[in-house]
Amino acid sequence: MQDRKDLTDAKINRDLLDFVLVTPFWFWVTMLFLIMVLTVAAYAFSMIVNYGLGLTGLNRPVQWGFLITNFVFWVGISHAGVMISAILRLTQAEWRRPVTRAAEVLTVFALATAALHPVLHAGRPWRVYFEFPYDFMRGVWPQVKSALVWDPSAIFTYLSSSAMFVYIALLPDLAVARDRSTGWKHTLYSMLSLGFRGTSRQWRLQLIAGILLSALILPVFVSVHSIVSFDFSMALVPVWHSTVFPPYFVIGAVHSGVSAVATLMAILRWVFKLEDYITPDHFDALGRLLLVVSTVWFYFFILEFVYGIYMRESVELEVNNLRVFVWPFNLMSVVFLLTGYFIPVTLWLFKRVRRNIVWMFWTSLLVNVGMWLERFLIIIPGLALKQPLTFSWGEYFPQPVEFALVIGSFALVIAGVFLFSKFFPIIPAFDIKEGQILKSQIKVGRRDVPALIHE
Amino acid sequence: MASGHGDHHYEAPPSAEEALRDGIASLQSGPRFRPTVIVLAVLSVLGVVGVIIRITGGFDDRAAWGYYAAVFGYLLTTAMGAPVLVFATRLAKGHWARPVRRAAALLGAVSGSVAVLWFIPMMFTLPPFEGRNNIWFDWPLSGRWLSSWAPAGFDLVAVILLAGLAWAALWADSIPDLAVLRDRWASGPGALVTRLARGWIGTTNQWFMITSFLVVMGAFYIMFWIFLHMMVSADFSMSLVPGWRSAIYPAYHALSGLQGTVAVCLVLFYLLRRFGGLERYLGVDQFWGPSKLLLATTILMFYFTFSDFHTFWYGRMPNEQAILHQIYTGPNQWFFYIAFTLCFPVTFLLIIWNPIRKSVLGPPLVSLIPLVGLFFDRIRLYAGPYAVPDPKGHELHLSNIGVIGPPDIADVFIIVGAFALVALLFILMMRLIPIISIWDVREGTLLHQEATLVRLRAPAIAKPR
Repeated sequence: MQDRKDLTDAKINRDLLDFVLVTPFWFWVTMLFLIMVLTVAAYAFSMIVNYGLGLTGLNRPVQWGFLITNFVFWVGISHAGVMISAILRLTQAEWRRPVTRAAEVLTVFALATAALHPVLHAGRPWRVYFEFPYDFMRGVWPQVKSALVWDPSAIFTYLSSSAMFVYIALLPDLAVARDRSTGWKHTLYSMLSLGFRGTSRQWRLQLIAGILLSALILPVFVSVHSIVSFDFSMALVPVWHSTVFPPYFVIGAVHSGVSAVATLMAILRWVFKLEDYITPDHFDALGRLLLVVSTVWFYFFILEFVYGIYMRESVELEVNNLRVFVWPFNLMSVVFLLTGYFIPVTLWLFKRVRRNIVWMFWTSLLVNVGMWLERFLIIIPGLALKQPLTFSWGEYFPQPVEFALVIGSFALVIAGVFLFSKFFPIIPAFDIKEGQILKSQIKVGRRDVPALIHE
Repeated sequence: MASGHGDHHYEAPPSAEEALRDGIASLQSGPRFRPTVIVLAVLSVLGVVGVIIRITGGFDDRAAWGYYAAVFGYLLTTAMGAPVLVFATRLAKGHWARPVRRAAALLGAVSGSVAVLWFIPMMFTLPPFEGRNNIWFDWPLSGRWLSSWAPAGFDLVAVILLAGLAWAALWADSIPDLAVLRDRWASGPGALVTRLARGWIGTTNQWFMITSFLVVMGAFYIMFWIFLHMMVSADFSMSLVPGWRSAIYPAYHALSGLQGTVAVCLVLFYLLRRFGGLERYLGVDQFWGPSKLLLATTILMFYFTFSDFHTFWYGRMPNEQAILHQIYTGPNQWFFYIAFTLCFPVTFLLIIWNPIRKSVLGPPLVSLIPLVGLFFDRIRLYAGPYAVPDPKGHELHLSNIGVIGPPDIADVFIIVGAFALVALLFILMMRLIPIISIWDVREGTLLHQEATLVRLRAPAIAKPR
């Protein structure tokens, strides 16, 4: 890390706890706006409950539309946390320090939002408890052969382990907040900090727990989106039944998740004035990671496309023909490819772009526009031409309630992240302090080159 | 080299002068050199005899060429991927890899050359693409007489290009060291080394060009290597089995290639340490780093296998059940069971232990297991499709399953000869190019310093932008 500043512990505590201890006016305005959006989304949902799923554009044969696209999208965004936090922690990448907690928090709220979508989509949401094997008397059990029943297990496992991950990493900062707060906040932080005092044993346990969780959460991270992909690949729907879907979905999730983290970091840097902590170096590192991840994702996309038409089956060719040549899917395909890969990756090849925060913000936002469209283009065209008999082919037109729910999901995640940052520091103070201890300098010729002590 | 993260026995790395001296010394041959070369040469000749036997038997009996194709697939899967490790560690600025990059690059280059030679007869074993699914989608370029040759011709061009890239990268990486030999090797390297050094004098511009070239070349090699996996796995494996369509298969082929690459490199590093006298350069770090990659690729190998199997098994279409019978559960099942067991659970259960990963002997020993497993896997994926009686058609039927027969004496010669030839070329090239990258190690010395962390001595390593 080249752009390093010397930060004292006092300055770190002050900067990172500022927003936690003092609430600026703009926070209330932002939350009010988000609550209004959420209210509209809640109203849209109440309409669906009251009048039925007919209010949406769903019908035979396209029975999955915006809501499932959004579900897959948010599960994808949730992969940011593990990628950045766990994998970079295990590989001891120094630049992860200011980024990890924001990524983990984004994971938790994205996953919670994703978990809501099957409920929103259920039609009769009061029957959703059927998913769980709760009753020993009725003899009615969930169909464990169905990929749709695997989803809750995977998502709730990931959600609980991610929440634990956030909490373990939060402990030292909760202790700092406890020692600097009064009143009900002091009581809250005292309870949550579990008596953390910074003894050698506590630090060792906290470190070991973090490393163990990092390693253990990795298989969960892979399994979640693989299981979500099974919702599609296990079905005999054209372009869905492909062996590459599990890794394709996972790498797509990492792509959109890391891009979302880049977007989030740019916003946090601007909103909380964290220029000393989130530097162009971090965006450069994120950009280089995104170059690799996006290229791997594109490779899987090519595999999925080429081997989709490999056998030249007529229905597969028809679906790809629909995606590539028929309006409006052709426009969506072009936009998806341009925004999801070609424009961002071409720009990220240049270091000047990677180190420019404004450029990184917009390119990472573009990626997620493209990735949302990617999920849409996987789901809807395949269903539209699901049956081989052409008279059963159908179309899908999303309705206002679906738009409201999708926009509401974004508001929910943003509100969650902002609320979290109101109560807990969004950058791990202890991690920044550790980075200050491990940094060093080496004189090479006439230059002082930043170095890192490897303990 | 420093002995690893968290290890309190901090050891200062070799100095720049030590690296120069040891790099030049590595060019000298020891007492074991001549007998080793003779043995490898004899085995290589046996390999050539095996190929001649196979060629004289003709190309019509495709099943007889199954093991031959498997050997090519194995070379692609293991040794030819070694430059990927070189370039990936260079792109990621992995400090631990400095002493080992030259050896891995050399392995990739010599195995690429052998692969080119091995590939030429293999082209003629491929039946015409008419009536078969293929990734070329019957290009207009393939005229009637071309269609039996042209697609495999593209594969040949790709193999030659990849081998060429490997040699180009090896040469570019070696230029600074060849210049040192030109200037400092008293007994004289000769005109060849002087010519290969290309007037290198180490100006800032020259360094900039070399390092930029290596970074760009590296990224290109990695992408091309993955693309070659896609071509070869499609043309010489998947397209020979009617109805076999698996989008993950090329990715699986490349990923298992990565596992094989890491494994073969670990074995190579150990042999260099043990028999090359490079203990000072090949310490725990040089085995610990790749062993983590081995762990990751082992787990991913299971994941890709499961994705492939699960999708077919769940779909339960008749064609899919036949495909499962061909490559997983049918008459060739023992190849799959052995391959899977060795490549995943046995390797995984050994390599997850930190004491094994963080040692010098542990990772190479464990690496032998997936190397054996991968060989059975390539037999399953090449000899099996080669044995399919009728490769044409839209679906596989249970009556058309390819059963892998036992290897005959020519196959044994071919297998042994291919590996011996790679080893022979490697050992001969070690007399020309320093096996330790002198300039890379010296650069690492400049960027490495001892620091004190509380009461511990620890290395501080710089990563200039």
